[in-house]
Amino acid sequence: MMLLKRIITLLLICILLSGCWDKVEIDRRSLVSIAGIDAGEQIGKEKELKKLKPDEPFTAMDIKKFHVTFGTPDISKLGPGQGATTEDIYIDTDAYSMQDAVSKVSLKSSRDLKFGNIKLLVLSKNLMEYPDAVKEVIDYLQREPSLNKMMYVVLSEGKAEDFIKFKPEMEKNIESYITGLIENPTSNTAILPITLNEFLMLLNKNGNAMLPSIVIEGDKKNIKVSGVALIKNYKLKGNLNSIETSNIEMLRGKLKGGRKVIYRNGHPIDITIDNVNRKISMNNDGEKLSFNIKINLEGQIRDYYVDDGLFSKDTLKYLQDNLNKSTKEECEEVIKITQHEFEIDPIGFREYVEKFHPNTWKRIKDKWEDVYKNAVIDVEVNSNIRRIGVVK
Amino acid sequence: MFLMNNKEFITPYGLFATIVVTVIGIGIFSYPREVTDVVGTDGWIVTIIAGIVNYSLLYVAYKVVKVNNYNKFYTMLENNFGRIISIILALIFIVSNILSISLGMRLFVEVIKMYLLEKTPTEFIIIVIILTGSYLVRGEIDALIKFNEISFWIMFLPIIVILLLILNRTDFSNILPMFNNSSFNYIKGLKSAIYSFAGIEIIYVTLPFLKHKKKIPNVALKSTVFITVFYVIIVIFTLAVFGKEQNKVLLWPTITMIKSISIPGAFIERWEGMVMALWIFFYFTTFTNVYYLSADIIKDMFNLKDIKLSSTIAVPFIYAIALYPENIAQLYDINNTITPLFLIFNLVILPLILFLGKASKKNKKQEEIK
Repeated sequence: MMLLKRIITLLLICILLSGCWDKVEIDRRSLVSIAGIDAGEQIGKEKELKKLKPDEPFTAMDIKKFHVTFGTPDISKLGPGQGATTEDIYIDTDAYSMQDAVSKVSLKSSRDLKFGNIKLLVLSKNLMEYPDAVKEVIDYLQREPSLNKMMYVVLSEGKAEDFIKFKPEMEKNIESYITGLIENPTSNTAILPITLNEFLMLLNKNGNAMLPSIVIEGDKKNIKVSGVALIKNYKLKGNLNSIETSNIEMLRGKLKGGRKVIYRNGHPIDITIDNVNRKISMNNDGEKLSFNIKINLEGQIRDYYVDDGLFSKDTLKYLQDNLNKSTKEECEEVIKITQHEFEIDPIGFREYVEKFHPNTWKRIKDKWEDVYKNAVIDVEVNSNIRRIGVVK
Repeated sequence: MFLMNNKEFITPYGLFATIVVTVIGIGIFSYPREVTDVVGTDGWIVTIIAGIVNYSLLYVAYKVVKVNNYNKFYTMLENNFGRIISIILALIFIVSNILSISLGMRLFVEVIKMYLLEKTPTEFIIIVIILTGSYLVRGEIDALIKFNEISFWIMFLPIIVILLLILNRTDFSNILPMFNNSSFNYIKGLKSAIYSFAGIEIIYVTLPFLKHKKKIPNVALKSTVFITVFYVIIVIFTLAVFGKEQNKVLLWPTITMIKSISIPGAFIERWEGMVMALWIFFYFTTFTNVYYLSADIIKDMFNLKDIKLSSTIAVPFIYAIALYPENIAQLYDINNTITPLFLIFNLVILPLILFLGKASKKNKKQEEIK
């Protein structure tokens, strides 16, 4: 009996402790840290694909619908005393779907690729021209459980592949550079950081979203964030530049800091904004909606001109009034662009009505597009310049 | 073996922990989706109503046990209906419980396979859970209650910390508008909300061993409030993180929510593996408690000497039922069709007939005395 027990224990140890299905040695593993998706050469052929029936054997396995590029840090160059980041290794492939890309890339890699650590996803501008293809990509991003939902998503002006293979001067690889740009608190006033989670949320609401867009500057030395790309119904609709972006951020109430400039006697006065408060209210008379956005700004003066002082109540009042006026005009300008030109709603009026005026929402739900186009939107800015630095 | 019928050893806290850990199981993964699907942003209201309904069910069950002199479940049946009918009733009860934990097991394995162990075979995970579960069940009820008492803290302390970490990405205006549904929708939502309280039948096995029997209604209230508040918090948090549209799309909003935490500057980057390991407790406690309940009734039914044999009888059934559904869609389908039926039987019909049966007997006795 004792012997039998021992044998059973040994057997159990052999069975239970030796076989581990999900084991991968760390040196056989490669962690993908950046992914870029371009439109493939044959992306326009969607009509032909629609003719395929579900039960047909899929013969056209090499349709080049997407061009996907992955970058993984070169782990062999990592070691003690060499810093935490390395240059990337790139693998790219043509594919008819995201999963196809993933399997094709695995064929090209000697290591087991893990996609759970992607930090940055670059979608190219030309991909955004094809809403059906975008929907396929979005579904993959949503469905795949291993993906890191907190990765940043950006839109590239130009091929995503070029951006991924770009060697920035400050960092060893592009994903640390761009995530650094996005996370850096002093530069992010004009950048709208969008994580995959937020991106999916925005798209699920009504197919509209915003993404920060990046460009390679003319001399090919620098990548910079050029503003926001506006997406409507999974399709790129237009761009806002960085000043418009920060105004939109202000109107959304998400601005964390920013800068405004006023000219006085021909000299610029820079005012940094430390605190923004936004409040929307709505008036609803009959068919037409009118929104009123109240913005409270708090800021301080950074620079002016030696021969003139600012240390007086009236001067500050004068500056504040001017700041109010110019900010109001800038904001109304952006609203005009988004409301009439692009017909999208980045500020979230739709959500506002749905949340705070459910009865009105029930009435106008079906014709929201028209109602929004015809709505009157007023902006009211009230700024407070609290500090002027340490001279008069 | 000591005679446990003479021993009253479960403390009120033990009862509280047992009810809480048994009721809160894998349902919590998909619960926010189910209620958001029906009532949109009003999921939390429905949850509160469901909590009230469930307290009354719990109270009825308590009354039933009380009028039957805190007898064990099967003894209660036998005293009231005689041997044959009570065997049938007990069998339905056991089958429903085994079905619910087996399907729950499959669901849990699917989640684990999705997030934690991608290539490990389903069968292997199921066998391991059953083996550990039956090891615990064989340790008799005192071990089980102690396990519940400890698990309670292991489960809920980390969850509180995790919820605090999520706070910085929430937008609580997402739970607006409130009270914006037709009353029909509320009733429909209430249906799935009440199912997520399944598991309160565990009191049939714990009440006979309870130390301070006067405190039962109080403990029942406390545990129902705890469960309700926990569900409400989860619903509100998932809404605040995802908004209602995204909540409807995600299969398991709760897990996705926890996956989307990132702690800036933390030394662990992807820590949801740890959290997934924590979820194992949520399922495992439900499994072992309901498993014990079924095994205990089998034991009494066939007059077996101890629970070791009866718990072994259940194992092949659990394994087979867990492997039966072909895919996740079918799994949810089966689950949604049979859970309501069994739940109504377990928590409404059975207590009622037990209660009425007892009452009519009392009357008869009184008439005889006259």
